[in-house]
Amino acid sequence: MPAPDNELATLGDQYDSLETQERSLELGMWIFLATEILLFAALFALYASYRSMYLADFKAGIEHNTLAFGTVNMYVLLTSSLLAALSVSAVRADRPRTASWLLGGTALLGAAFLAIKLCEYWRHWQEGSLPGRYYHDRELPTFGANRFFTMYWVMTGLHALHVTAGVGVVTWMAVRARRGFYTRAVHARLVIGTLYWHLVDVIWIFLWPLLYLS
Amino acid sequence: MWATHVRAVHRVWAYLALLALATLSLLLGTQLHWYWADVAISLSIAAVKTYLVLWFFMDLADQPFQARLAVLVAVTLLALLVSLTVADVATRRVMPMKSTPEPSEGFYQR
Repeated sequence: MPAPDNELATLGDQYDSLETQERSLELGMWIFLATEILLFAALFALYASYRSMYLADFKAGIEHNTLAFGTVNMYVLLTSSLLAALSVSAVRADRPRTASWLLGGTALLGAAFLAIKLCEYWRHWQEGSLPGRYYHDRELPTFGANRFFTMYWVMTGLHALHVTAGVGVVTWMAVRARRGFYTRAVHARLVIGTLYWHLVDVIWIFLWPLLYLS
Repeated sequence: MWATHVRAVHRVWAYLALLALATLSLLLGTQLHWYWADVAISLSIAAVKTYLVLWFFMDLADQPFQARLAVLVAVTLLALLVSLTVADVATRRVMPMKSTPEPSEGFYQR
């Protein structure tokens, strides 16, 4: 169902073919994702540093954390990633409406992730497991636990911001897929949007064991 | 136009493997307590899961060399940064700087 006024199929002056243009878009996205990894790298390094300094307190903080919420969110994000990947397969099989439904499912699961995260934050708020000088959790009255929950809020907060942006992007792509903007030949913008969503998934794959498991 | 090697059925199989690995990580993390080894095991499982996502969901297999290089450089820099930071902290003579707060600080007990 190619749209006759599909501006995505317009060839830029600097390209000699649509394929080159599509490949360039994807390469640009991969380089952007690499910079996103480096953004989180600083936080992972800070986490590793504090964990080395306050190992026992970090273990206590992890045991005190809300494992059920984090685990459900792990499965939610993995499922959403599958749907996003299948949407690319659907477009490549000339089934844009299927892709639209799959992207809609991805966005819904992303929203579910955020809703669960809000419940989790509310629980920490009630316990007093807040970042920095606002920390007043009576069950874990240690500097190390304070550091752990500061890292928890910063890392999951930054990740949640990425999820929020991702939900917006995926919703927008779902609408565009329904209107037939993505075709078998021209769908790099769909690919780069789903790449972003998969990166959000990959970051959570590492946050989950570090903040909830071990 | 697209030379793709990953089909939808591959993605579903990868998803099932990801679920299995997540469950394995959960079981090991909650049932076994091997002090420092448990984080190494769970991060190793996370690395395998990341490989599956990169290969079967993000189609890294179909990407040109430059894209793979971008990922490789980012992961290498991340590993360098984290490992050097940990090595630095672990080999300092006096760490942590302030593990025992002053009694006047009240709230903190250790």
